[in-house]
Amino acid sequence: MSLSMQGKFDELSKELINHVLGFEEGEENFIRSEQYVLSNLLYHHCLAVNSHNVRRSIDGLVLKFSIHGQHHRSQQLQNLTSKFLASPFFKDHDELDIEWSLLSLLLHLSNSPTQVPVSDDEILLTLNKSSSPVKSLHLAEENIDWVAYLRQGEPEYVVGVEQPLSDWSSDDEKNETEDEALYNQYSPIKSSSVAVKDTCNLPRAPTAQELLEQSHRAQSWLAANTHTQYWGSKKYQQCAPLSSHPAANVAKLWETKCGSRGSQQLSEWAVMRETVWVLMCPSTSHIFQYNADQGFVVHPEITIPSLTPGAAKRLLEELCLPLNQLLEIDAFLKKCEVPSVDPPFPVTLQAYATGIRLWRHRFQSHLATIEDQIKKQESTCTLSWLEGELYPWLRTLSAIATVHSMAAMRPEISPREAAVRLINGLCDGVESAGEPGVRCVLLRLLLHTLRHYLSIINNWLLHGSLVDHAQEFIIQRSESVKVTDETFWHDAFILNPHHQSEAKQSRRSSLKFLSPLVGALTTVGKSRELLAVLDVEPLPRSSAILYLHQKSKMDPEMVLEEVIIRHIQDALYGSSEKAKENTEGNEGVADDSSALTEVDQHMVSNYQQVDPLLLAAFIGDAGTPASPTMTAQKDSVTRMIEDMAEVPRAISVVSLLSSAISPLIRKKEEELSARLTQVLLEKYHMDRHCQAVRSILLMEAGDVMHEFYSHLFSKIDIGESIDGISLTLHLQDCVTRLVPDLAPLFSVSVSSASGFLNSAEENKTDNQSVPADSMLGKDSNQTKEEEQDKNKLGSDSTTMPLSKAGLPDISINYQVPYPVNLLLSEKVLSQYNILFRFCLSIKRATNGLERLKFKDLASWNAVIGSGSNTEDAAGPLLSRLHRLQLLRLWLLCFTRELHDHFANTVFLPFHQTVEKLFLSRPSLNVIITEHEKLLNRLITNCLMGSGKTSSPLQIVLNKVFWLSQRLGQLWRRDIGRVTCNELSAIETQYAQVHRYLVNFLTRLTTTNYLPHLEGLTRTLVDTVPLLTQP
Amino acid sequence: MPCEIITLQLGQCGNQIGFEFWKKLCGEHGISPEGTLEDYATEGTDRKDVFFYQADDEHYIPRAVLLDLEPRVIHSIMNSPYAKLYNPENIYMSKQGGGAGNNWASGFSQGERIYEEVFDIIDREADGSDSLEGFVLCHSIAGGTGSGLGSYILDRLNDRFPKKVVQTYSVFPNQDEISDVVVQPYNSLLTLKRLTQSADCVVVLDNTALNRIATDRLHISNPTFSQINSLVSNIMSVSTATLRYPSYMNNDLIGLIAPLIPTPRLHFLMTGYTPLTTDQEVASVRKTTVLDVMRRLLQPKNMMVSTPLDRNTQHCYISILNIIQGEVDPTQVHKSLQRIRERKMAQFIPWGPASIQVALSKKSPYITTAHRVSGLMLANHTNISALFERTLHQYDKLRKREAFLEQFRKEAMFAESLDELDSSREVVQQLVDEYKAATTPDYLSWGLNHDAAEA
Repeated sequence: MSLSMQGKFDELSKELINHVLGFEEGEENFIRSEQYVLSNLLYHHCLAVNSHNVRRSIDGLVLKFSIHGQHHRSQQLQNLTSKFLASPFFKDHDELDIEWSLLSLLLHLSNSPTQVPVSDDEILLTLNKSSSPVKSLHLAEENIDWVAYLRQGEPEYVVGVEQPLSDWSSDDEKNETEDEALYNQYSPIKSSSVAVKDTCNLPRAPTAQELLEQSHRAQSWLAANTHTQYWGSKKYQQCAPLSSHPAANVAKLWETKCGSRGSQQLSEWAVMRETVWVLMCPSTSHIFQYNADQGFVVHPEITIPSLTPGAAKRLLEELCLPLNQLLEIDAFLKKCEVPSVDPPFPVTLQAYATGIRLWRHRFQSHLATIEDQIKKQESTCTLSWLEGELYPWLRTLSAIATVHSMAAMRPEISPREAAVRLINGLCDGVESAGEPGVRCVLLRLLLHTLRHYLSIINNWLLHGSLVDHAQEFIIQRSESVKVTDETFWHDAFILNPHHQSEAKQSRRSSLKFLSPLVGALTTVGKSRELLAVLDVEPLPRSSAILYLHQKSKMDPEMVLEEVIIRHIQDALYGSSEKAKENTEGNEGVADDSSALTEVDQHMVSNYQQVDPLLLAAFIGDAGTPASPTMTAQKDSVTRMIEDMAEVPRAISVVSLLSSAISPLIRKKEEELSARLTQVLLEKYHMDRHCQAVRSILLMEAGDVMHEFYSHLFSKIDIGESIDGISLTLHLQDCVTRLVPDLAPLFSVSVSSASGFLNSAEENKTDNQSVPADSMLGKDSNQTKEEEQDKNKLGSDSTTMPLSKAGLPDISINYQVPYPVNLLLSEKVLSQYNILFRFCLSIKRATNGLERLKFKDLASWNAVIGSGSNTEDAAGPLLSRLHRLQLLRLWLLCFTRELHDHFANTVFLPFHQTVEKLFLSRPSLNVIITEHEKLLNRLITNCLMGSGKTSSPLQIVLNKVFWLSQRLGQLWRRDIGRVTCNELSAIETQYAQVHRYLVNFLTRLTTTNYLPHLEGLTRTLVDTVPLLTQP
Repeated sequence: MPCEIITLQLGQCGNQIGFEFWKKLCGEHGISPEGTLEDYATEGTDRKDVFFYQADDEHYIPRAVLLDLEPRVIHSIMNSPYAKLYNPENIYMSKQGGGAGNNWASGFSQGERIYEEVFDIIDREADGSDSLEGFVLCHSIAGGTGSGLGSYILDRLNDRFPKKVVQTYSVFPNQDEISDVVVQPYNSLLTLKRLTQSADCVVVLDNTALNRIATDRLHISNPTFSQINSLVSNIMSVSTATLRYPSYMNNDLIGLIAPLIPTPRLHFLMTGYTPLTTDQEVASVRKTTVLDVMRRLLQPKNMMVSTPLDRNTQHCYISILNIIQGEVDPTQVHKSLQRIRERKMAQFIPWGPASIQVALSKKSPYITTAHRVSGLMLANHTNISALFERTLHQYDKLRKREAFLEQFRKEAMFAESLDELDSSREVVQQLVDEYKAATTPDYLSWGLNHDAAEA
């Protein structure tokens, strides 16, 4: 910086002023401005920078950063500086040391411009010169540098500077003293120049007295804020109370009196704080010590000055149990944070953990406020006050712990059982809780815990998927049953996967509030799944939503959990508005929950004033539950649950939940069932298939079946072999006329079981089984003859094994297409086949008799032809013919009576009821069960229900069939060869069969109430045959 | 197609009631007079193929053969809206066109002459059906064509189709107007012999009773033929309802009639129908229930057979078949039956099963009736013998005077002797005797007693 530059400065500064401010030379303002510019230019130390000083500062910063662990920054600063210094821009720059000047400027700028501690620093530095020689050296250097520099510059200035400048200088100083603050704020560079000046004015530095006062203040502050260490060290530091009142020194007095020594006296404040801490985080501490065997114990020799050691211990020991409980709960929470994957950890338990965690948060924030209060010491805080503050929380804690002891996931119980047990435990807990606060907390906990169940239900109801990875839901999808199985409806969902032996236990493990709805739930689930598989749109979503909307006047997007919580809120506090009023009204009362919200609000407002970001972080932390999977929507649910006010009166949680859930589920069930029924009936024609099966197997389509069985009977009668294939073809041919599209689904199978081969013998034993038979000794001749006939019959049908009713073991199969086989399962079809064979046997007997035409009566024409002329021959012949004809009438009437009876009073009502059933379009559940019921009743009504042993009715039918067969033989035989004995034998046998049936039916109708059989019985009684000849 | 039935309409009366019958069936099955299916006929549960077959163009054509020896009635049919319904090939009119002149012998002998042509038609019709169940013959027994030709055809049917069921709807002459055809007794007697021997079942339609019912019950002062015939066609259609509307029971003709007929000759059935209405009296205030209908059916006034009260003989029912149509609660049926039995509303034969069968049948969905329930009774009652006795009585009167026999003697059959008349009388007498015998418990050993009596 040479004097030669002075003129240049003058020129340039004038131009600058002119340019920037527009003042003309000679104006007063111009002169002032010039002075300002020049002073800034000439006396600014950036112009004469001390490169060592700057480097030292930067090195110091680098060091500071690295010491503070900000290695990255320090590294970066270093790099930047070196890069900056090495910049080619500064090489051969006409300004010397410009890089250092800039750095110095930056350094100054980086300091808070308002708080450059120039003067104090200088003072301290000068004061501590002796204590730190190295530093002083630097400082000295610095000082020297500065002074030398200043002195160096001054003479030059003085030498070269003219009068006006010196004037300006004094002016400037005066100005500065007046507006120092302004200047400091305005320009940091200026202030540093001020600092330079301050260092020059040492007499202005604080006096020693001032310094002493300062240090005393610091010391007392330090003393007030320093804790003496009472923990850890073996030697106890006694805390002496400040007061000398005896009540404040009970411990001391007790010690001196008892002579015992050794108990540590802690300040009540310390004990309170430690209590709060240990409650916040239950781990071993000075006062509460944890050992594995006993849990927490109170340090044996601790007291506070105002209590005897024993009293203090008792007081503090009360906290041990809650601490143990807390520890257990915390351990559980910790375990839940890292849920095991295999086996999957029940989400219900996780949800429960979330609930507990939320409570824990509340507790902790409450503890935090307590701690604040204690710390502030604005009011009197004592241990008993603390006890009072904590009491409701500890009550709640013990209630939670009681429930929790049940919730603990033990390896031997399934997730499902664990979940159920937990929920039941919570329900019981809520119902048995005595205090409103506890009840409320438990209810919240229950609702949290239920959330997973509810979301499963929600998913199931709305989306049709039973998502239950941890297998904890009360209903489980049985994997072995596919949706396309015909047993799907029955077996797809297992309510109770336990074994029979555990029946007792499993009964306990059913959910109380859900168990009445399980049926409806599974129906919904099954309907959903079925509809999905059938590729049918389930209900339009709007309808369900509309319902929810109407029901609860709430947001249509709401999920089940929300609905249920609202419902419960409504039930508990009336409408939601009321609930709000309630909580507002309750705020005055010092109950924990509202106090807590108050505190929360207080905290919130505090933080909002101080630091919105911090508040956001705080709220975010509190609001976000531990589980990261929870969505924002769920968070609102969480908040809703958490916002629930206390429950003033005892409630039945089971009924509350049931009433909340059931209308939703029932409604859903109704909708889905109706839809499913609609789909099954309209798209898959379940009713039509059912009708087809009835038409064929129950012979409702009389014409079609007539064709089929006449063909079958005629084949059997002429001894032709029958096989399934040809019968199938024939049947399909017949059915085609009725229902062309379904005909190929029918098929006939004929089993050639060996059991029928010796039907003749069986028939013989059958004869014995008719009780009336045994009463009448049989004519041996007759029996022989009978056997011959039977053999003849048997030989006729050697190709085909026939049953006692003269029928092959025939069954009709129906290939039921997929969704319909839920109704027409194999079991149902086999029942239909039982009925089919029954119908067939009736038809067989009737049909055989109807075919006996008078024209076929072999000798009839001969008699007609001979007229009355051949009297001798016609005598007994005519009589025998007549008897034969009458026998036919009897048998025919008998079989027709049976036939008509079953047709009119059994099959027709069944037909009508089933049709009605389908017309009313009930749910699939109802269809299946009702149909099954009707079918079973049908079988019972046909007296076929007694299982393997053939019923008396079947015996009668078999017998009548054989009688009609014998009659047919006689009919076709030359009447001249038919003896009276033969006729009488058949007549008596028929009479026996008839009476046997009458007896059987009479017994049946007198012992049981069988209205449908009374008519038949009556008729048969009226028509007991009078065939026996005198 | 199973159980097809071919209807043969003979003579003036036969064709007239046949015409009404087909009209009725068309209405019930929703078939238009042209034979096409009406648009509304969509139910599809009925069986049209028993009485109709479908031509290539899906038209329904009755399995009917129209025979007459004079063209008047058939012409009037062919001029009616139903002209296109029938298969023209199935219509046979005698080329001479003179008719039988109310002469059984003439009808019979003309039958012999036209045998080939008639049976060509019948054979063709029978061949056209899958499993022919039988024939239904509509005729009157008193005229010339229906009785004479009918008798002839009955005999021939028996020869040609021995396995088939032959049922006849035989119109018995109106005794109140006996003066119309004086030779009625001869014709009736000769026909009755064939009906007894060659028919499987005869549904007796007694003009006397029908006219009385029309006048007394329906308050029609001078009932026309078409009014009477609508009654007849009603009976015919209901009695075949179970065949046409398939159900669990009675799906063939033989099954329907077999239990009604105990012995070969006792196959004359009388009918009863309730509630009786005509078009003028549709709006009835009557409440119809099953019991009500079944009770009414047992009342003599609803029987369509004019049988005088016979105080000497305890006439009784041999068997009853009630065909109930309409909205029926099946449980009501048995209750009604029980009540009927308990109150002994019907007197039954002492030697056989008191069989009251009830067949519930569907009603045509296309025809609205004023009544919820209606019923037809087909009854085998010994009282029917009164009709035969009356015929015998009248015959004896005529025969005693040898009246009106010239016409018969003209025909070859009676040219030499009147044995045929005698044998017919004997057969009818036996029939009457058997019916009378059936009223007593001795009927069980009827053959023996009969022999004893003969001896």
